[in-house]
Amino acid sequence: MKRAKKIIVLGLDGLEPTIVEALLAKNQLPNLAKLQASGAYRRLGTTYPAQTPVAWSTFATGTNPGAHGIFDFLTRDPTTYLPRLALNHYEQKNAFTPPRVVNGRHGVPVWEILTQAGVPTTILRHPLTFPPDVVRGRMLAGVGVPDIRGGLGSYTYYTTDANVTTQQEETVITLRPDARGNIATYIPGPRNPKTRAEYQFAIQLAPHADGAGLTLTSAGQPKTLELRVGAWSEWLKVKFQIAPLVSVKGMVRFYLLRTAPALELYVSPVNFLPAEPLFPISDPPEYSRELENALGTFYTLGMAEEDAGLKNRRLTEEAFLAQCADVVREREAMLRYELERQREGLIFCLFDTPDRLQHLFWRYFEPEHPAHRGEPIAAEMQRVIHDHYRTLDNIVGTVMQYAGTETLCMVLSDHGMASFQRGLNVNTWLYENGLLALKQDIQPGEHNGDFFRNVDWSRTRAYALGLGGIYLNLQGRETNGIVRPNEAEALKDALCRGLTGLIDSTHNRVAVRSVVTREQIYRGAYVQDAPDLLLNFAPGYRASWGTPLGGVPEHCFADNDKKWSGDHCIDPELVPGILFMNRAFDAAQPSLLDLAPTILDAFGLPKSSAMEGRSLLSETTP
Amino acid sequence: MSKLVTIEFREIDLPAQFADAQANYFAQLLQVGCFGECNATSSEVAATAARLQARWSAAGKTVLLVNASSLDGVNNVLPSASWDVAWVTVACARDADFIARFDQELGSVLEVLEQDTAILILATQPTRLWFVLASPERAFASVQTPIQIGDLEVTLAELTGISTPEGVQGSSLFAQALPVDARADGYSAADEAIVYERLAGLGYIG
Repeated sequence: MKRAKKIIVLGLDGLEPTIVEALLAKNQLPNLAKLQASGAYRRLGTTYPAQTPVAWSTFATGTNPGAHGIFDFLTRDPTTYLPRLALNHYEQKNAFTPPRVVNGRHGVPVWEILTQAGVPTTILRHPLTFPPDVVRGRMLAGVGVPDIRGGLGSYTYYTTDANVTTQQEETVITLRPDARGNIATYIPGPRNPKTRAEYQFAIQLAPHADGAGLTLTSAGQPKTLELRVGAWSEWLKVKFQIAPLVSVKGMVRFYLLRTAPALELYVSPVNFLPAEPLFPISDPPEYSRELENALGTFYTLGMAEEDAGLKNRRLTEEAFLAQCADVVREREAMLRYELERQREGLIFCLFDTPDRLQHLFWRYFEPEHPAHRGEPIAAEMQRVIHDHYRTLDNIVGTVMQYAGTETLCMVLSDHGMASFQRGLNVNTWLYENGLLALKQDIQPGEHNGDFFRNVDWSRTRAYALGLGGIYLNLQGRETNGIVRPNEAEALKDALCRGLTGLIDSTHNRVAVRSVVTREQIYRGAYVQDAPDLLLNFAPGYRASWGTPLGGVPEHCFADNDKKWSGDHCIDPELVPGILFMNRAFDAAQPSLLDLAPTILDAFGLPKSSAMEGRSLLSETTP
Repeated sequence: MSKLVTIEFREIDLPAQFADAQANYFAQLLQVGCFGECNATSSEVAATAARLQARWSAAGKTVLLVNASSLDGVNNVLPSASWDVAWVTVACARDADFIARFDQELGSVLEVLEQDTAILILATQPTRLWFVLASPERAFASVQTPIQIGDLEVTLAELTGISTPEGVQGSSLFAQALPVDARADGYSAADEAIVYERLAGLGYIG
């Protein structure tokens, strides 16, 4: 059988080959083992850089990033040097017309080719599908769908402790109970596009006599919601009145952390309602409503896991894991719902959770990780990642139940995962090497904040932004560019030489394995949007926390003591993904580029001229 | 000083028509502009409109008057003529789809407006008037209680750069100017706040 009637592609974001292989060897992933026995398993080549939006866009289009235009979560505006989200942006003809969302991904995804060929296609939560593409079938958007405030998800932390300081990516609201302990407060909503005034949704909290919970009342649905310590609440549907006659709807979940000595309450980002999203999140637009009607409500946010809450040490590990389990359950229900009615064509479903969970729990593999901050390591937490792999293996088993003889099954990850113990402050390195200048009398340090605040552009030749990219301050491209085009190559050579093999002298370890220029790795219509250089970090290293938004902290290297302790933004050679198929294939080193051609080939369709890989099936021995 | 386009609907109860309607363009206007109710009879509205139009002409402004049975096609009329003030009067059927259709047609007008054009939407009833006024540059105070027709006339005169007619009593609806916090680098703390908001929740960055 070469021609497939059905194809099922299961995406498991960030699944790491060394863990998969170790668990396979111990017979702990029986369904993946079966899949391997019926076909093949290989490590899967990823993209430069090895990041979710870049890699999945390459999976979808079969092209290198130079042709789909996604090079990082972040890009920059060369006129202001400000970072921008690369996933999507809003366009407005003028102040009176409503904003329109524009996807950052270019190129032609495989589902568009299938749609043109009349092949039914269901795409669940593929990254960079917001706004949703028009498909013959159904699409539910994934990474890129914002919360109601327009970000990728910002939670709110409420406390009666007036001394709590606000961290990044959160809103802190100080609660002031009245004499009877009742509290009137609000959920922060979107801002007015013109005045920046914040719209709010009023809520009232009344403590239970036994101290184990709160009763929340509001004008939302339901009107009354019981919050219990240590448990996620049901969804509360809320409505922000943003203008006379105009309201915006959303929904939140609550996690009551404790009621004493201080009351601490966590509220999730305000998700779009599946049935009435602020912007359409599915194709056809009513599909998200259909899913809610059939399966109950679900997280609509593109990055649904509450990792920021755990990273900022507001949520506990247990609360985060419980929420992750809910996200996985929802996703599995959607997948089953579609598998149940699939007669032909493609189903793709992505599980994002393994990526987020490994980012936060990697430290439990490493007792010496700075994130432990000397705290005892709970034994049950050391099992979390492996348990999660076994949960995903069960989902693979579910998928295989629906796979007949004419079904091609593919299970893949977009990249692997590695340790992140030390960060390189790339801008500080550029400063120390005379390539980035600060204004007079300003030294590197935390006081510089983000956004290159104290950088003197008239004396700066290169700057770093994003998760490993370096840009030249190029004349004619950057507003205050000083590097003449005929000097660019020499400067890039100097940067490559200076950074390749860079040693972290504190640990006497190589931090940067190599540096590549964009011309070496990209080709296509969007290469000019890529960073000029990419750093290939060694395991254990990454661009520091201060780097992505343009900070210039004090030292070149810094310990990573955040719970976000694993990462994959290192040399892509070291973090390949995985690929299991229920068909044998000979390719020793398949890559993400090969999968769109493989899907087309399985349906008897030729790959498009833009696609750079080759069908893995064409290499199969009959 | 802005150009101004006014779209006047006769005999429309705007809030009643608008309730729960899908109207994206109108919703955006309500967010960036000011919405309110005015105690004025339709003859007072007509008199004010006539007086303003005369004063604009006297000040050397080109006034384009359009009478249409619907907004459909007005998006073609407006760019084809040269005007400082366009006053479009629409007499249309008030059926169940009115707002949805109106919103689409309004959108096609808004999309062709030049950057410096303010917009006023009027919905008149025998003894009162609903209005939405939005300007690309100026912010308005929020209007909680019904205003007088003079308030609107004073505001429109100020918006279009003509003096207030003698004998007209009213207070401008403009808000105090927004604080300007632009930094020397060319972007403001508000721009930074917007970047933070857009990136909030991206675990990789800080």
